[in-house]
Amino acid sequence: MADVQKRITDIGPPHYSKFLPPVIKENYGKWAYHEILKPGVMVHVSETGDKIFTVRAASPRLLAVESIRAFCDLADKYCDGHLRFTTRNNVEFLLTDESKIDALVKDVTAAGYPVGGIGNCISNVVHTQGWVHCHSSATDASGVVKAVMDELTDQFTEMKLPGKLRIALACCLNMCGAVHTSDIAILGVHTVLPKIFHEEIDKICEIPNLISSCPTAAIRPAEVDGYKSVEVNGDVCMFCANCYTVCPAMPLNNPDHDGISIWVGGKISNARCAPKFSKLAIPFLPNNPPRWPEVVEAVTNIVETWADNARPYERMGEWIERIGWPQFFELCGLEFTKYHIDDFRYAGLSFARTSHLRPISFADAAGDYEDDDADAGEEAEEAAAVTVSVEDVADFMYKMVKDAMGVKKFKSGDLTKAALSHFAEQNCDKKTAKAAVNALIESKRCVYTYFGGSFVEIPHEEGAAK
Amino acid sequence: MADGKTYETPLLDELTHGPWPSFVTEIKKSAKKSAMCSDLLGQLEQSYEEKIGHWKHGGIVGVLGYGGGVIGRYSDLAEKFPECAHFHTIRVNQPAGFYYTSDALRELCDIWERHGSGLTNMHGSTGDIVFLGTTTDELEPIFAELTQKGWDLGGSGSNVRTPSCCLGQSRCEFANYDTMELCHKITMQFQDELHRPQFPYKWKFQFSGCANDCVASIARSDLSFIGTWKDDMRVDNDKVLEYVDGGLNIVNNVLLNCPTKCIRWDGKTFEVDNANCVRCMHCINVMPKALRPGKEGGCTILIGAKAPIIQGAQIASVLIPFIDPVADYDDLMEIVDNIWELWCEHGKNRERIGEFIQRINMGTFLEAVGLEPIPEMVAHPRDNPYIFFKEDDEDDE
Repeated sequence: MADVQKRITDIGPPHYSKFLPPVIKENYGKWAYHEILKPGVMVHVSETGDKIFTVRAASPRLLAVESIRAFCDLADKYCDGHLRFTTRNNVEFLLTDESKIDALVKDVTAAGYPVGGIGNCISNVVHTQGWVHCHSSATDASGVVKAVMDELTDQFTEMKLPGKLRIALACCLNMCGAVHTSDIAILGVHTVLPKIFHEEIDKICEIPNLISSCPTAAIRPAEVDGYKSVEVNGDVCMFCANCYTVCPAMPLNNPDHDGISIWVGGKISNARCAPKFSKLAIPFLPNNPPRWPEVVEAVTNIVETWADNARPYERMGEWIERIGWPQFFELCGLEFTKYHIDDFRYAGLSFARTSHLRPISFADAAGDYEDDDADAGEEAEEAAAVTVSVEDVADFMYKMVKDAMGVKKFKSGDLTKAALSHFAEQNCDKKTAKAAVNALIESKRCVYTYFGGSFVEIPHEEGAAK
Repeated sequence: MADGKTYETPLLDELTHGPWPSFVTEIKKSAKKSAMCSDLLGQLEQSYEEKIGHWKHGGIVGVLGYGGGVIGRYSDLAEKFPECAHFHTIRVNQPAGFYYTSDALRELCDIWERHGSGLTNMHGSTGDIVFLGTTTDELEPIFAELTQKGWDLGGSGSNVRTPSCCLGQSRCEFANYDTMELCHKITMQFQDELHRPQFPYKWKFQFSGCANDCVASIARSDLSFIGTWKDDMRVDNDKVLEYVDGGLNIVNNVLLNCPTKCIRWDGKTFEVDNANCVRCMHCINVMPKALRPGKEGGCTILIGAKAPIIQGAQIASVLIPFIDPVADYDDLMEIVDNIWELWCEHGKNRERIGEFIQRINMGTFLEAVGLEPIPEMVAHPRDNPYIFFKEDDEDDE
């Protein structure tokens, strides 16, 4: 009990003032402007004339305490023990003595942490845990980032890009890294239905909670092999893994079908235009450790295409909006598929609701359509001959309408479907059925009526006329 | 200590090459002292071979009295890799602005090396210092050592998550309010809500000093504070001319990028139509020596950002166009209280505030928390004519 009383709780984090360099304490709120001196190095100048220099270097996010101690040693050597980290996992060394910068940059670089990430370049990649620590990951995180950035390190250590470029990776749709507003988002995806461990599920999981976790109501209670369990409606499952998050007995992880999707054009900053979500560029690339060559190539290609074509300060999304999505897909050589068209809530808001189109969109699309039509015609020629008369079909339909009068109304399509099924052996086709409906109407045996929908009925005096 | 097994890891070894810093190198550094990290390497190599993760999620482990701050994690290959059978995460609440002294960091490193794998994230996505990999038995000893040295755990689960901020006025001339102080104050005020889950789902506060939003608050926080200013932008026209003389194409790179076209430039004078400036920061970003935000700083409060889970991702939307978070702190807390009361009463399990507002609708939400509907809250008024008129409201007219 004595131990419990001695417990210290709810003290919160240390106050930040304990850790601020003196120059910051003295100039807090008085900074006047900043300048980028060279890649990864900037100076902030105070209204008082005081200066603070910052040297920024990339960390791999996953850091051993040994490396943190090495950062501390550098901070002691050059910065009176002061350092900080950025929201994108960079480490920053804070100096007041400009003459020490070059030596510091040299030491940090030699330790294996590239200096850069300031200004118009790629800053460090924000990412999640992946196979190092996560239960729901559809891909690794650190490994993919390492592979991609090995290819793009120069874009971190130099400032040759038109604007800022933010890459982020989340290893599943939970998006612990909130990657959905990045210039390029690398997102792990599952593509097959969750397994269900029927024997255990009722013991491990609260089934009502599990059912309500599904955004599309795809999960229903079911008894399977005598166990109280659930079933998944595969038609509406979108592999979000919400069910797995609340119920470990429904894993989605699948080595052959998990992979990576690429999203582009998101942005967080409010500079110039409003923040934007990232949009789908590539629906699926395979997991191919340890170097994920398909992903590296895709990301590098998009970065280079943007860098070659964007105007100064134009972020990925701003560039794409200026040139249009059709041109983006063309320039990057990416395939546009049905998966690129949203089909969840408010999907229509993302459709092109204007005639604003560029000449690139005026290709020979109609020609393709005619070809398809020609194919359909050839198939029709091969169809078997119809051996039932229009009159017989019309009689069948009339009987159907008459027998159901007062009980059920039929639409023209209902009659057609029934006729096709009834006269299947006689090869009754849609053309014959359509002619039969027309015959019924033209002979005045039936009329079209409208009561919140159009129906075929026996002529009668309508209630409203009485 | 380093008597752990070693494993052949050819796939991971490939990732120790190349110019970018390698996480494999980091794990190997820790494996010299931690058998847990040796087994982690073994398990991770197997994941790389099989293309699948090998972790199970836990939900119960923690420190006495807290319901957050520890994420339980177990290996599903515990027999093969017993040293990382438990691999729990501890979230330690970072100091505002991520500033440290080397002494403070070494203290944390020593505690973590004594009781865990020695692997960290500096920092996690929400902002915490993340300690990756320890066993259930070590949780209380770590907590005791941390609190004795003045550190506390961060949030996890359905509670206030560790608030996070940009470095604000400590080193940035763009900051329109004291982000670090507000972040620290709110963190201290809600220690109970941070450590003991009592909400329908997580709640994140994030603080950015200007519209550049370096903590991504508009994309990921339930209540986002983005700095802005009331009075006129400060313009030093001589410095503008220096930028132009230095080669800046001010028409292409500044004027044409202004979202409201509120800048007039005749080749000599840079004039801002302040009434139509939306404080987007672009011109200030391009010419920081010449342009500065006004002196009457404060913030815009936006609500409801979230990642996709469950009903889809949302970017936060305007709730309060301008507030001085110091002078109006009590009003701010009253609004937060009102929102939490409503959400706790009516929110569903795992329903973020953004989804809750979508479900009950913004009009109902505003009425319930006592805020007036204003045009700043919408991109445009509704174009959908299905209006849920209420008879009572018409009688009031």
